[in-house]
Amino acid sequence: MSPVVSVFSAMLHKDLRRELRSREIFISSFLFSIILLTVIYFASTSSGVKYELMGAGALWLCITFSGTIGLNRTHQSEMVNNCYRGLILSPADGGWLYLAKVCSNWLLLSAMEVLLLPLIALFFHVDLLQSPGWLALSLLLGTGGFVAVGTLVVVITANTRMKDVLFPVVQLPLVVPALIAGVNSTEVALRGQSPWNWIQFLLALNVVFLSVGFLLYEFLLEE
Amino acid sequence: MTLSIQFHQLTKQFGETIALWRAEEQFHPGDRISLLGHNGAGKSTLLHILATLTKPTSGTVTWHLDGEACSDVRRVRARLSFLSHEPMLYPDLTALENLQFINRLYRRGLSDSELVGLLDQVGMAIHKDRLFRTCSRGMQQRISLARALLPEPEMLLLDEPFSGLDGEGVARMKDVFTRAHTCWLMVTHHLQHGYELANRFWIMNRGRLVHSLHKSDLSYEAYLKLCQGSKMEARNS
Repeated sequence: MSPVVSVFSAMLHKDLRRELRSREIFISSFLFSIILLTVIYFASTSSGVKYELMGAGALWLCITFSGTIGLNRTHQSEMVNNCYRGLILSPADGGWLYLAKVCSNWLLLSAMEVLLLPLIALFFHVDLLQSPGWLALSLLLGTGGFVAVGTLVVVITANTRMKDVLFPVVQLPLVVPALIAGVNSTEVALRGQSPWNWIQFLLALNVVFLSVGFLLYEFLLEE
Repeated sequence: MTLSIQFHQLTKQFGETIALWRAEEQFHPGDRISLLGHNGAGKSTLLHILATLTKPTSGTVTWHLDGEACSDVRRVRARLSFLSHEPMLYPDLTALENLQFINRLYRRGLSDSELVGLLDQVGMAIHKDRLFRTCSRGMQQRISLARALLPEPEMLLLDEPFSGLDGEGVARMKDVFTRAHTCWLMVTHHLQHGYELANRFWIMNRGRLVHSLHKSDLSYEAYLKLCQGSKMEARNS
Protein backbone atom coordinates (compact mmCIF):
# COMPACT_ATOMS: atom_id res chain seq x y z
CA MET A 1 0.00 0.00 0.00
CA SER A 2 1.44 3.39 -0.95
CA PRO A 3 2.19 5.83 1.89
CA VAL A 4 -0.51 8.24 0.76
CA VAL A 5 -3.20 5.55 0.55
CA SER A 6 -2.11 4.18 3.94
CA VAL A 7 -2.51 7.55 5.68
CA PHE A 8 -5.78 8.33 3.89
CA SER A 9 -7.36 4.97 4.60
CA ALA A 10 -6.14 4.91 8.23
CA MET A 11 -7.74 8.28 8.94
CA LEU A 12 -10.97 7.48 7.12
CA HIS A 13 -11.25 4.04 8.72
CA LYS A 14 -10.66 5.51 12.18
CA ASP A 15 -13.26 8.28 11.77
CA LEU A 16 -15.95 5.98 10.41
CA ARG A 17 -15.28 3.31 13.03
CA ARG A 18 -15.61 5.87 15.81
CA GLU A 19 -18.85 7.23 14.40
CA LEU A 20 -20.34 3.80 13.77
CA ARG A 21 -19.58 2.94 17.38
CA SER A 22 -20.87 6.12 19.05
CA ARG A 23 -23.31 7.42 16.35
CA GLU A 24 -23.36 10.68 18.34
CA ILE A 25 -22.74 13.00 15.38
CA PHE A 26 -25.14 11.24 13.02
CA ILE A 27 -28.02 10.96 15.50
CA SER A 28 -27.76 14.54 16.80
CA SER A 29 -27.52 15.99 13.26
CA PHE A 30 -30.41 13.88 11.97
CA LEU A 31 -32.72 14.69 14.89
CA PHE A 32 -31.94 18.38 14.45
CA SER A 33 -32.81 18.08 10.75
CA ILE A 34 -36.19 16.51 11.52
CA ILE A 35 -37.03 19.34 13.93
CA LEU A 36 -35.97 21.88 11.32
CA LEU A 37 -38.07 20.20 8.60
CA THR A 38 -41.11 20.18 10.86
CA VAL A 39 -40.74 23.88 11.62
CA ILE A 40 -40.32 24.75 7.92
CA TYR A 41 -43.35 22.62 7.02
CA PHE A 42 -45.65 24.33 9.52
CA ALA A 43 -44.26 27.77 8.62
CA SER A 44 -45.02 27.14 4.94
CA THR A 45 -48.52 25.80 5.77
CA SER A 46 -49.47 28.97 7.60
CA SER A 47 -47.93 31.28 4.96
CA GLY A 48 -49.67 29.57 2.05
CA VAL A 49 -46.47 29.00 0.03
CA LYS A 50 -46.58 26.12 -2.46
CA TYR A 51 -44.95 23.07 -0.88
CA GLU A 52 -43.32 21.97 -4.12
CA LEU A 53 -41.24 25.14 -4.25
CA MET A 54 -39.91 24.62 -0.73
CA GLY A 55 -38.34 21.15 -1.11
CA ALA A 56 -34.84 22.07 -2.29
CA GLY A 57 -34.54 25.02 0.08
CA ALA A 58 -35.70 23.00 3.08
CA LEU A 59 -33.28 20.19 2.28
CA TRP A 60 -30.33 22.58 2.02
CA LEU A 61 -31.30 24.37 5.23
CA CYS A 62 -31.11 21.00 6.99
CA ILE A 63 -27.77 20.22 5.34
CA THR A 64 -26.35 23.61 6.32
CA PHE A 65 -27.34 23.65 9.98
CA SER A 66 -26.96 19.93 10.72
CA GLY A 67 -23.71 19.88 8.77
CA THR A 68 -22.37 22.75 10.84
CA ILE A 69 -23.18 20.88 14.04
CA GLY A 70 -21.63 17.68 12.67
CA LEU A 71 -18.41 19.33 11.47
CA ASN A 72 -17.95 21.03 14.81
CA ARG A 73 -18.45 17.75 16.65
CA THR A 74 -16.06 15.78 14.46
CA HIS A 75 -13.30 18.28 15.09
CA GLN A 76 -14.04 18.44 18.81
CA SER A 77 -13.46 14.68 18.95
CA GLU A 78 -9.90 15.30 17.67
CA MET A 79 -9.36 17.80 20.48
CA VAL A 80 -10.27 15.26 23.20
CA ASN A 81 -7.08 13.86 24.77
CA ASN A 82 -5.12 16.20 22.45
CA CYS A 83 -5.43 13.61 19.67
CA TYR A 84 -4.77 16.30 17.07
CA ARG A 85 -1.26 16.64 18.52
CA GLY A 86 -0.72 12.98 17.75
CA LEU A 87 -1.60 13.80 14.14
CA ILE A 88 0.75 16.80 14.07
CA LEU A 89 3.61 14.71 15.46
CA SER A 90 3.11 11.90 12.96
CA PRO A 91 5.08 11.92 9.71
CA ALA A 92 1.78 11.88 7.76
CA ASP A 93 1.20 14.60 5.16
CA GLY A 94 -1.39 17.10 6.41
CA GLY A 95 -2.98 17.39 2.98
CA TRP A 96 -3.94 13.73 2.95
CA LEU A 97 -5.22 13.93 6.52
CA TYR A 98 -7.45 16.78 5.32
CA LEU A 99 -8.79 14.82 2.35
CA ALA A 100 -9.55 11.83 4.59
CA LYS A 101 -11.34 14.10 7.06
CA VAL A 102 -13.36 15.69 4.23
CA CYS A 103 -14.22 12.25 2.92
CA SER A 104 -15.50 10.96 6.27
CA ASN A 105 -17.53 14.15 6.88
CA TRP A 106 -18.85 13.87 3.32
CA LEU A 107 -19.96 10.27 3.84
CA LEU A 108 -21.67 11.06 7.15
CA LEU A 109 -23.56 14.04 5.75
CA SER A 110 -24.49 12.14 2.58
CA ALA A 111 -25.86 9.26 4.67
CA MET A 112 -28.01 11.75 6.54
CA GLU A 113 -29.26 13.22 3.23
CA VAL A 114 -30.31 9.74 2.06
CA LEU A 115 -32.55 9.49 5.14
CA LEU A 116 -33.81 13.05 4.74
CA LEU A 117 -34.88 12.71 1.10
CA PRO A 118 -37.98 10.53 1.75
CA LEU A 119 -39.04 12.99 4.45
CA ILE A 120 -38.63 15.88 2.01
CA ALA A 121 -40.76 13.99 -0.51
CA LEU A 122 -43.39 13.37 2.16
CA PHE A 123 -43.49 16.87 3.62
CA PHE A 124 -43.14 18.89 0.41
CA HIS A 125 -44.80 16.61 -2.18
CA VAL A 126 -41.79 16.46 -4.50
CA ASP A 127 -41.02 13.61 -6.87
CA LEU A 128 -37.50 12.40 -6.18
CA LEU A 129 -37.48 10.11 -9.20
CA GLN A 130 -37.90 12.78 -11.90
CA SER A 131 -34.14 12.83 -12.52
CA PRO A 132 -32.46 10.91 -9.71
CA GLY A 133 -29.00 11.04 -11.29
CA TRP A 134 -28.93 14.84 -11.42
CA LEU A 135 -30.37 15.03 -7.92
CA ALA A 136 -27.66 12.73 -6.54
CA LEU A 137 -24.92 14.66 -8.34
CA SER A 138 -26.26 18.00 -7.09
CA LEU A 139 -26.31 16.78 -3.51
CA LEU A 140 -22.89 15.09 -3.70
CA LEU A 141 -21.14 18.10 -5.18
CA GLY A 142 -22.95 20.69 -3.06
CA THR A 143 -22.21 18.72 0.09
CA GLY A 144 -18.61 18.30 -1.05
CA GLY A 145 -18.12 22.06 -1.33
CA PHE A 146 -19.80 22.65 2.02
CA VAL A 147 -17.69 20.03 3.79
CA ALA A 148 -14.42 21.07 2.09
CA VAL A 149 -14.75 24.60 3.48
CA GLY A 150 -16.13 23.54 6.87
CA THR A 151 -13.36 21.01 7.55
CA LEU A 152 -10.80 23.77 7.04
CA VAL A 153 -12.61 26.56 8.90
CA VAL A 154 -13.29 24.42 11.97
CA VAL A 155 -9.52 24.02 12.42
CA ILE A 156 -9.00 27.79 12.24
CA THR A 157 -11.64 28.52 14.88
CA ALA A 158 -10.92 25.51 17.12
CA ASN A 159 -8.34 27.22 19.31
CA THR A 160 -10.33 30.39 19.91
CA ARG A 161 -12.28 31.06 23.08
CA MET A 162 -15.58 31.55 21.19
CA LYS A 163 -15.12 28.58 18.84
CA ASP A 164 -18.76 27.40 18.98
CA VAL A 165 -20.02 30.82 17.88
CA LEU A 166 -17.14 31.71 15.62
CA PHE A 167 -17.24 28.55 13.50
CA PRO A 168 -20.67 29.14 11.87
CA VAL A 169 -20.04 32.89 11.68
CA VAL A 170 -16.86 32.37 9.65
CA GLN A 171 -17.97 29.28 7.77
CA LEU A 172 -21.41 30.27 6.50
CA PRO A 173 -20.33 33.29 4.40
CA LEU A 174 -17.59 31.18 2.82
CA VAL A 175 -19.97 28.38 1.80
CA VAL A 176 -22.57 30.72 0.30
CA PRO A 177 -21.45 29.98 -3.31
CA ALA A 178 -21.74 26.23 -2.71
CA LEU A 179 -25.14 26.67 -1.04
CA ILE A 180 -26.56 28.86 -3.82
CA ALA A 181 -25.36 26.43 -6.47
CA GLY A 182 -26.53 23.43 -4.43
CA VAL A 183 -30.05 24.79 -3.88
CA ASN A 184 -30.48 25.83 -7.52
CA SER A 185 -29.07 22.60 -8.88
CA THR A 186 -31.29 20.50 -6.58
CA GLU A 187 -34.35 22.58 -7.42
CA VAL A 188 -33.77 22.14 -11.17
CA ALA A 189 -33.19 18.38 -10.72
CA LEU A 190 -36.42 18.05 -8.68
CA ARG A 191 -38.27 19.61 -11.64
CA GLY A 192 -36.83 16.85 -13.84
CA GLN A 193 -34.50 19.11 -15.82
CA SER A 194 -30.76 19.10 -16.30
CA PRO A 195 -28.82 21.40 -13.93
CA TRP A 196 -25.61 21.02 -15.97
CA ASN A 197 -24.56 24.70 -15.62
CA TRP A 198 -24.84 24.54 -11.85
CA ILE A 199 -23.08 21.19 -11.77
CA GLN A 200 -20.13 22.68 -13.68
CA PHE A 201 -19.99 25.55 -11.20
CA LEU A 202 -20.10 23.11 -8.26
CA LEU A 203 -17.33 21.02 -9.81
CA ALA A 204 -15.11 24.08 -10.12
CA LEU A 205 -15.90 25.13 -6.54
CA ASN A 206 -14.99 21.67 -5.25
CA VAL A 207 -11.67 21.71 -7.07
CA VAL A 208 -10.80 25.16 -5.67
CA PHE A 209 -11.93 24.44 -2.10
CA LEU A 210 -10.26 21.02 -1.94
CA SER A 211 -6.99 22.36 -3.37
CA VAL A 212 -6.86 25.24 -0.89
CA GLY A 213 -7.65 22.87 1.97
CA PHE A 214 -5.04 20.34 0.83
CA LEU A 215 -2.36 23.03 0.82
CA LEU A 216 -3.33 24.85 4.04
CA TYR A 217 -4.54 22.14 6.43
CA GLU A 218 -1.17 21.14 7.88
CA PHE A 219 -0.18 24.74 8.49
CA LEU A 220 -3.52 25.55 10.16
CA LEU A 221 -3.44 22.40 12.30
CA GLU A 222 -0.03 23.38 13.68
CA GLU A 223 -1.03 26.98 14.36
CA MET B 1 20.82 6.19 12.51
CA THR B 2 21.30 8.86 15.15
CA LEU B 3 19.31 11.86 16.28
CA SER B 4 20.79 14.61 18.42
CA ILE B 5 19.56 18.04 19.45
CA GLN B 6 21.40 21.25 20.16
CA PHE B 7 19.60 24.34 21.40
CA HIS B 8 20.98 27.81 21.77
CA GLN B 9 19.68 30.83 23.72
CA LEU B 10 16.21 29.34 23.79
CA THR B 11 13.59 31.71 25.17
CA LYS B 12 9.82 31.34 25.36
CA GLN B 13 7.46 34.04 26.58
CA PHE B 14 3.71 33.79 27.04
CA GLY B 15 2.69 37.44 27.09
CA GLU B 16 4.55 39.00 30.01
CA THR B 17 5.47 35.64 31.52
CA ILE B 18 8.90 34.23 30.76
CA ALA B 19 8.58 30.44 30.72
CA LEU B 20 12.07 29.74 29.41
CA TRP B 21 15.08 32.02 29.45
CA ARG B 22 18.14 31.58 27.25
CA ALA B 23 18.46 27.82 27.69
CA GLU B 24 21.47 26.18 26.04
CA GLU B 25 22.38 22.51 25.95
CA GLN B 26 23.01 19.48 23.78
CA PHE B 27 21.25 16.14 23.70
CA HIS B 28 23.47 13.36 22.32
CA PRO B 29 22.64 9.81 21.24
CA GLY B 30 22.84 7.56 24.30
CA ASP B 31 21.80 10.31 26.68
CA ARG B 32 19.17 9.46 29.27
CA ILE B 33 18.36 12.74 30.87
CA SER B 34 16.13 13.55 33.83
CA LEU B 35 14.82 17.08 33.62
CA LEU B 36 14.03 18.31 37.10
CA GLY B 37 12.70 21.45 38.72
CA HIS B 38 9.78 22.88 40.63
CA ASN B 39 6.34 23.55 39.13
CA GLY B 40 6.52 26.35 36.59
CA ALA B 41 10.29 26.01 36.14
CA GLY B 42 9.86 25.69 32.37
CA LYS B 43 10.44 21.92 32.00
CA SER B 44 7.33 21.16 29.96
CA THR B 45 7.85 24.26 27.82
CA LEU B 46 11.34 23.08 26.94
CA LEU B 47 10.01 19.59 26.21
CA HIS B 48 7.27 20.95 23.93
CA ILE B 49 9.80 23.02 22.00
CA LEU B 50 12.11 20.04 21.53
CA ALA B 51 9.11 17.94 20.43
CA THR B 52 8.46 20.57 17.67
CA LEU B 53 5.04 21.37 19.16
CA THR B 54 5.85 24.89 20.32
CA LYS B 55 7.92 27.55 18.59
CA PRO B 56 10.41 29.45 20.76
CA THR B 57 10.10 33.22 21.04
CA SER B 58 13.81 33.47 20.27
CA GLY B 59 16.80 31.17 20.05
CA THR B 60 17.42 28.16 17.88
CA VAL B 61 16.97 24.42 18.04
CA THR B 62 19.09 22.35 15.65
CA TRP B 63 18.28 18.72 15.05
CA HIS B 64 21.06 16.54 13.68
CA LEU B 65 20.07 13.41 11.77
CA ASP B 66 22.96 11.04 11.21
CA GLY B 67 25.41 13.85 11.91
CA GLU B 68 23.85 16.37 9.52
CA ALA B 69 21.74 19.35 10.51
CA CYS B 70 18.13 18.85 9.46
CA SER B 71 15.46 21.52 9.16
CA ASP B 72 12.75 19.19 7.82
CA VAL B 73 10.43 18.96 10.83
CA ARG B 74 8.56 15.97 9.39
CA ARG B 75 11.76 13.91 9.20
CA VAL B 76 12.59 14.82 12.79
CA ARG B 77 9.11 13.94 13.97
CA ALA B 78 9.31 10.54 12.34
CA ARG B 79 12.25 9.75 14.61
CA LEU B 80 11.05 10.99 17.98
CA SER B 81 8.10 10.19 20.21
CA PHE B 82 6.42 12.33 22.80
CA LEU B 83 4.61 11.03 25.88
CA SER B 84 2.67 13.91 27.40
CA HIS B 85 0.09 14.44 30.16
CA GLU B 86 -2.61 13.96 27.53
CA PRO B 87 -2.66 10.44 26.07
CA MET B 88 -3.25 11.54 22.44
CA LEU B 89 -5.44 8.45 21.94
CA TYR B 90 -9.09 8.22 20.88
CA PRO B 91 -11.56 7.44 23.68
CA ASP B 92 -14.04 5.62 21.43
CA LEU B 93 -11.46 3.18 20.08
CA THR B 94 -10.04 0.19 21.93
CA ALA B 95 -6.40 0.05 22.97
CA LEU B 96 -5.59 -2.22 20.01
CA GLU B 97 -7.56 -0.11 17.51
CA ASN B 98 -5.68 2.99 18.66
CA LEU B 99 -2.36 1.23 18.07
CA GLN B 100 -3.57 -0.06 14.68
CA PHE B 101 -4.30 3.54 13.68
CA ILE B 102 -0.86 4.79 14.80
CA ASN B 103 0.74 1.79 13.07
CA ARG B 104 -0.85 2.78 9.74
CA LEU B 105 -0.15 6.49 10.25
CA TYR B 106 3.55 5.78 10.77
CA ARG B 107 3.51 3.04 8.09
CA ARG B 108 5.24 0.62 10.45
CA GLY B 109 3.52 -2.44 8.99
CA LEU B 110 3.27 -4.32 12.29
CA SER B 111 0.86 -7.24 12.55
CA ASP B 112 -1.87 -7.35 15.19
CA SER B 113 0.08 -9.92 17.19
CA GLU B 114 3.09 -7.60 17.24
CA LEU B 115 0.87 -4.75 18.44
CA VAL B 116 -0.51 -6.99 21.18
CA GLY B 117 3.12 -7.80 22.06
CA LEU B 118 3.73 -4.09 22.47
CA LEU B 119 0.74 -3.83 24.79
CA ASP B 120 2.10 -6.82 26.68
CA GLN B 121 5.34 -4.93 27.35
CA VAL B 122 3.35 -2.40 29.35
CA GLY B 123 1.06 -5.03 30.90
CA MET B 124 -2.02 -4.08 28.88
CA ALA B 125 -2.39 -7.06 26.52
CA ILE B 126 -5.39 -8.42 28.45
CA HIS B 127 -7.14 -5.06 28.01
CA LYS B 128 -6.50 -4.81 24.26
CA ASP B 129 -10.21 -4.87 23.39
CA ARG B 130 -11.28 -2.44 26.06
CA LEU B 131 -12.43 1.02 24.98
CA PHE B 132 -9.77 3.55 25.85
CA ARG B 133 -12.24 5.81 27.67
CA THR B 134 -13.16 3.01 30.07
CA CYS B 135 -9.53 2.51 31.16
CA SER B 136 -8.26 4.03 34.40
CA ARG B 137 -5.74 6.89 34.38
CA GLY B 138 -2.85 4.52 35.03
CA MET B 139 -3.96 2.10 32.30
CA GLN B 140 -4.27 4.97 29.86
CA GLN B 141 -0.76 6.07 30.76
CA ARG B 142 0.58 2.59 30.01
CA ILE B 143 -1.22 2.39 26.67
CA SER B 144 0.18 5.84 25.85
CA LEU B 145 3.65 4.48 26.45
CA ALA B 146 2.93 1.65 24.01
CA ARG B 147 1.82 4.31 21.50
CA ALA B 148 5.06 6.23 22.05
CA LEU B 149 7.17 3.09 21.57
CA LEU B 150 5.32 1.91 18.44
CA PRO B 151 7.24 4.01 15.88
CA GLU B 152 10.55 2.71 17.35
CA PRO B 153 11.75 6.26 18.00
CA GLU B 154 15.40 7.19 18.36
CA MET B 155 14.46 9.70 21.03
CA LEU B 156 11.68 9.67 23.62
CA LEU B 157 10.43 12.88 25.19
CA LEU B 158 8.59 12.01 28.38
CA ASP B 159 6.49 14.41 30.44
CA GLU B 160 5.99 12.92 33.91
CA PRO B 161 5.58 9.33 32.71
CA PHE B 162 5.01 7.92 36.22
CA SER B 163 1.97 10.06 37.07
CA GLY B 164 -1.11 8.00 37.81
CA LEU B 165 0.75 4.68 37.84
CA ASP B 166 0.55 2.07 40.59
CA GLY B 167 3.63 0.20 41.87
CA GLU B 168 3.46 -2.43 39.14
CA GLY B 169 3.00 0.21 36.47
CA VAL B 170 6.03 2.15 37.71
CA ALA B 171 8.13 -1.04 37.75
CA ARG B 172 7.09 -1.92 34.19
CA MET B 173 7.74 1.55 32.91
CA LYS B 174 11.17 1.66 34.56
CA ASP B 175 11.93 -1.70 32.99
CA VAL B 176 10.91 -0.41 29.54
CA PHE B 177 13.09 2.70 29.92
CA THR B 178 16.06 0.67 31.15
CA ARG B 179 15.87 -1.84 28.31
CA ALA B 180 14.96 0.59 25.53
CA HIS B 181 17.62 1.14 22.86
CA THR B 182 16.64 4.73 22.64
CA CYS B 183 17.77 7.93 24.32
CA TRP B 184 15.26 9.90 26.30
CA LEU B 185 14.58 13.16 28.08
CA MET B 186 12.22 12.76 31.01
CA VAL B 187 10.49 15.44 33.02
CA THR B 188 9.86 14.03 36.47
CA HIS B 189 9.13 15.10 40.02
CA HIS B 190 10.03 11.64 41.27
CA LEU B 191 13.61 12.29 42.34
CA GLN B 192 14.53 8.66 43.09
CA HIS B 193 13.35 7.29 39.73
CA GLY B 194 14.93 10.29 38.04
CA TYR B 195 18.32 9.43 39.56
CA GLU B 196 18.12 5.65 39.05
CA LEU B 197 17.23 5.72 35.38
CA ALA B 198 19.20 8.66 33.98
CA ASN B 199 22.83 9.17 33.11
CA ARG B 200 22.50 12.96 32.93
CA PHE B 201 20.50 15.56 34.81
CA TRP B 202 19.23 18.95 33.77
CA ILE B 203 17.90 21.06 36.61
CA MET B 204 15.72 24.09 35.90
CA ASN B 205 14.72 26.98 38.07
CA ARG B 206 12.41 29.88 37.11
CA GLY B 207 12.81 29.31 33.39
CA ARG B 208 16.59 28.87 33.47
CA LEU B 209 18.53 25.69 32.90
CA VAL B 210 20.76 26.11 35.96
CA HIS B 211 22.58 22.76 36.15
CA SER B 212 23.63 20.17 33.61
CA LEU B 213 25.45 17.28 35.25
CA HIS B 214 26.57 13.73 34.52
CA LYS B 215 25.66 10.96 36.89
CA SER B 216 29.35 10.09 37.33
CA ASP B 217 29.91 13.56 38.80
CA LEU B 218 27.03 13.41 41.22
CA SER B 219 26.27 11.22 44.25
CA TYR B 220 22.63 10.60 45.13
CA GLU B 221 22.95 12.82 48.22
CA ALA B 222 24.46 15.68 46.23
CA TYR B 223 21.75 15.22 43.60
CA LEU B 224 18.99 15.42 46.22
CA LYS B 225 20.57 18.49 47.75
CA LEU B 226 20.77 20.15 44.34
CA CYS B 227 17.15 19.38 43.47
CA GLN B 228 15.86 20.47 46.88
CA GLY B 229 18.06 23.58 46.77
CA SER B 230 16.46 24.51 43.47
CA LYS B 231 13.01 24.08 45.00
CA MET B 232 13.92 26.13 48.09
CA GLU B 233 15.32 28.87 45.91
CA ALA B 234 12.12 28.91 43.87
CA ARG B 235 9.99 29.01 47.01
CA ASN B 236 11.97 31.89 48.52
CA SER B 237 11.94 33.96 45.34
